[in-house]
Amino acid sequence: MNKVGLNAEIERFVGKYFYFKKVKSPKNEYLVIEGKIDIVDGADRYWDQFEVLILINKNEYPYTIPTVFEKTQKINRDWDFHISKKGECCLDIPHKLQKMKLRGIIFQEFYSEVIYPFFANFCYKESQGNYANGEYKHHIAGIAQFYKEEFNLENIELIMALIETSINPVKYPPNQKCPFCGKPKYKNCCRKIIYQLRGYGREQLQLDLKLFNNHLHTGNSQLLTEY
Amino acid sequence: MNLFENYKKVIQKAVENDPTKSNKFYGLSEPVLKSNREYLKSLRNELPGRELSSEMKLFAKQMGVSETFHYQPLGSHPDFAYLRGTDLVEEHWIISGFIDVKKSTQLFNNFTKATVRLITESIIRASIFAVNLCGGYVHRIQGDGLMVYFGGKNIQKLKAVENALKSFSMISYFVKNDLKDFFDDNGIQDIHTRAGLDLGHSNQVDWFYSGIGETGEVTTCSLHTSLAPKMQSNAENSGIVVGQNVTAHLKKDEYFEKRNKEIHDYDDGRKYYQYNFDWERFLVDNDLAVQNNRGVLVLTINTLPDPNRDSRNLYPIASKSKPYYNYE
Repeated sequence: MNKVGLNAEIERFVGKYFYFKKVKSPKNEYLVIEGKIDIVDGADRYWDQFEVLILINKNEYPYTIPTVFEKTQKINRDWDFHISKKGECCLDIPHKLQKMKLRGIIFQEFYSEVIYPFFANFCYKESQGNYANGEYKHHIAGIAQFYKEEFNLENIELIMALIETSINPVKYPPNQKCPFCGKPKYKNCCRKIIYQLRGYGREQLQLDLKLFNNHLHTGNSQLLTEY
Repeated sequence: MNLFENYKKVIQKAVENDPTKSNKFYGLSEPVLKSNREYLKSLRNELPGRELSSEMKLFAKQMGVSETFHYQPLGSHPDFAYLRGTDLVEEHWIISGFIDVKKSTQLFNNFTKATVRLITESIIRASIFAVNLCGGYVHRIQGDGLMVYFGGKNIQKLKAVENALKSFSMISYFVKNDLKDFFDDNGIQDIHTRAGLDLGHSNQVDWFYSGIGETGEVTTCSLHTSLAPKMQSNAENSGIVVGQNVTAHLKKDEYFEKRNKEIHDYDDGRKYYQYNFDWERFLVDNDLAVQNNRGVLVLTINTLPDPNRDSRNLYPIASKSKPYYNYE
């Protein structure tokens, strides 16, 4: 989709979500919209309202992830609330965002499935003391948590080997013993993970590999859990 | 907050307990029909009457309206009731509105006539509430439709225009948002409202008593009262069409889309135009509704956290997000 596609999509969005409008962008390559998000639950009960600014890269759309800033300062600028000092919201683990980016997003869907739930989840935490579906730990510990939850992988060396093979494919016999975990058939275990990892993109996998490498070399494996 | 929750609940219960579907093969026997009528008779008591629910009271309070409505008798606008039985005529501006529920005849194919009666009555009562909430006056009830006046001697024209638009927007909202999905799920397709509203200025409206003896009503003679039902018939599904006089008062172009064809030709070179009214945007802009994650409107006037909110209802939306932090 090109810039015309993005403009049409944003016109459709602001035509549907009445609190949003296009505003002047400080940078040419971004299309910026600002507006209010009203959090309403499934029983039509009102929770809260947040003012936001959303930046979308015109040149990359739909292969981009919008950046969202919370303007009302209702969310404490504290890393426990997954927001930067400037109010930039950390919407999800980068792997999932990267996967969306590689597939291409439809902004309206991204709004209702990612942006809106982020703010709804903040309301949930305010009410219950914890996020509805938990949260990722900060920095590298969150990345390790992601691999554990998504693929049930805890061994860093194994994760690194799988990432490495995902980036630089090596063909192993599918019906023979898995060269990574030792299970009877490679095609039934680690090959599936390697294929899935490719969905997160080379760039993200290289970043993970570098992170894990650095930490292994520091010899401080605790870092993976302590944040 | 669901302003029309009590009306909706009655309709849901009436539909769920209707015996038509469960007796499809054997037909409806008199004992079944009798039992249905008795159930609906008690269910009717659950409809809000003069006494408003706590949510309706809260809504009224936030709109600056008294919690106790004085429902006026039909056919005699209180400011012009003195004309009843006389030959007098008074010129006074008024906004005339027509709204009804389309495709409602389908209801008879799916439910007993007693169920249809209660559904219709619920919609009519909800509409009367919305009209009164916005200072309007119900002039006539026709099946599942209403003829309504907004305005009078103690209100400014602009305020009356806003009230009329708010009221008809709320009724449209009720049928589109609260009822339509429910009807769709129960095999009743495409139920919707259509509405028309127009303003006649004082030099364009005569108030008078029409009829003989007690068989009559205090009503208006005006091109704009006559145009309102024409606009209604031109409205799209769930749409409201308004006359040029209305748009001239509410100078907000974003709410009005001019229709290609005029609604009236004066035959002297002048034409009177009709406009589609974006009532959903109007409700949101006027803080009468907010939008959920899918952009669907939810009627609410109090943008403070709802004291009855329950995190279990937020969970399905909130759990789609699992935040991470990676800033320095």
